Amino acid sequence: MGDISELENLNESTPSYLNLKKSLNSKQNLIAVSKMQPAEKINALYESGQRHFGENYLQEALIKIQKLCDLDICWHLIGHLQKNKVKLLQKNFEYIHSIDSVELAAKISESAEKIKHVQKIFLQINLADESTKSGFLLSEFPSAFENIKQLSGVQVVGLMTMPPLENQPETNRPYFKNLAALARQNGLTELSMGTSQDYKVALEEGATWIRLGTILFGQRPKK
Amino acid sequence: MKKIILASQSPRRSEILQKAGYHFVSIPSHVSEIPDKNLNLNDQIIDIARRKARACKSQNQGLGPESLILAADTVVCLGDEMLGKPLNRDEAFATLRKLSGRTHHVKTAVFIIDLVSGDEVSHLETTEVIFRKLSDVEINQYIDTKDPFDKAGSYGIQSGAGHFVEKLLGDFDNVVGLPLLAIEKLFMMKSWVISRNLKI
Repeated sequence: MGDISELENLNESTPSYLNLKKSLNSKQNLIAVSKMQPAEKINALYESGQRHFGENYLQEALIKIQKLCDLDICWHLIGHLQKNKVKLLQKNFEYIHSIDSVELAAKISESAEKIKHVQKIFLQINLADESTKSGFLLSEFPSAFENIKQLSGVQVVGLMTMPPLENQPETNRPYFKNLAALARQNGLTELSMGTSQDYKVALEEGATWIRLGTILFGQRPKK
Repeated sequence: MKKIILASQSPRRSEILQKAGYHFVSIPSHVSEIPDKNLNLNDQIIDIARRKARACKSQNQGLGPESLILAADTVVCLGDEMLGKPLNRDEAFATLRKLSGRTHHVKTAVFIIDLVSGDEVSHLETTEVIFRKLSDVEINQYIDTKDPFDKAGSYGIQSGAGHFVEKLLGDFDNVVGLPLLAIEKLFMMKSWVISRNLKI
């Protein structure tokens, strides 16, 4: 618990975990992004009531999932997933947020079917058209979505996006608006968007899953 | 308190552990499952379970010392013949026809590595299964369910093929894929305390 009280007052403008949690309505979920954070810190936040944790790297995640397998944690994979690692997913993650190709979705589906499982996924959308970012471009989304819907081992629950890193949260509002519109047009209800920098704007635009790291854990330890 | 890492992607094995209330995570490893023909049959099976466990250990550097890696390999033996997973419908049919009205043995090897001490233990559990006579029609009907395809010996005792079994001598879970009784004896023998949540 000691860890949390330290986290509560990072600086004046940083809300405490509990206040943050209180400010969310029943449709707004908080994922604590725990990449590079030790299992002990995850455990401390869990003690405060947090249940959803997000990891970026599969291998690092598995080690923590194993360490904490006696806790009732719902794990999210939010980082890029290599196709050759799909077999390791098993039923270890409730949600995968970073599906960025039909091939990847097909591999996951095939692997999930083998264990009679349906993996819940978000499709990552590249709204800024940046070639450096992964995700489906708006132009390729319709046909990709149609193809992925046919797969029986995955269930698309919603869309995810990572807007360009900006200092001003307002700059990202158009991206969040566009993602919400795209989800609506396609009958999807879940929106994974918003990080420590811009979660307030994301919530205003309809985010149902915000992904917070630094605001909860402080700056990440260096590798 | 030790936590189990199940180095297997079999949904049946994780179900057995889950039902028994163990806290564990599944991390399958990548290994060759081609038997080493220089060994006798029983050692071949243990050898494959050993490969799975050791590969899981080396492929996941960083696992905590409180971890216990558990790997298993199951084969179905009819006399000296080893019956693996069927590649296609014809193979599944041929296998089930061979098993019809006869006695076979299901062998599961388990291999456990304790990451604190580096201790390794293994065990081979055998269950004798006697099938009643099966008609070609019911074999075909069973294959239509697709149940045989991911299973050694082309059948699942816990799923569609339970009613083929006339008599069973030994541990039922062992036929499903994980001899829990024998595994718990190994835990006791080694004085390993395993994290679990007994549901009553």
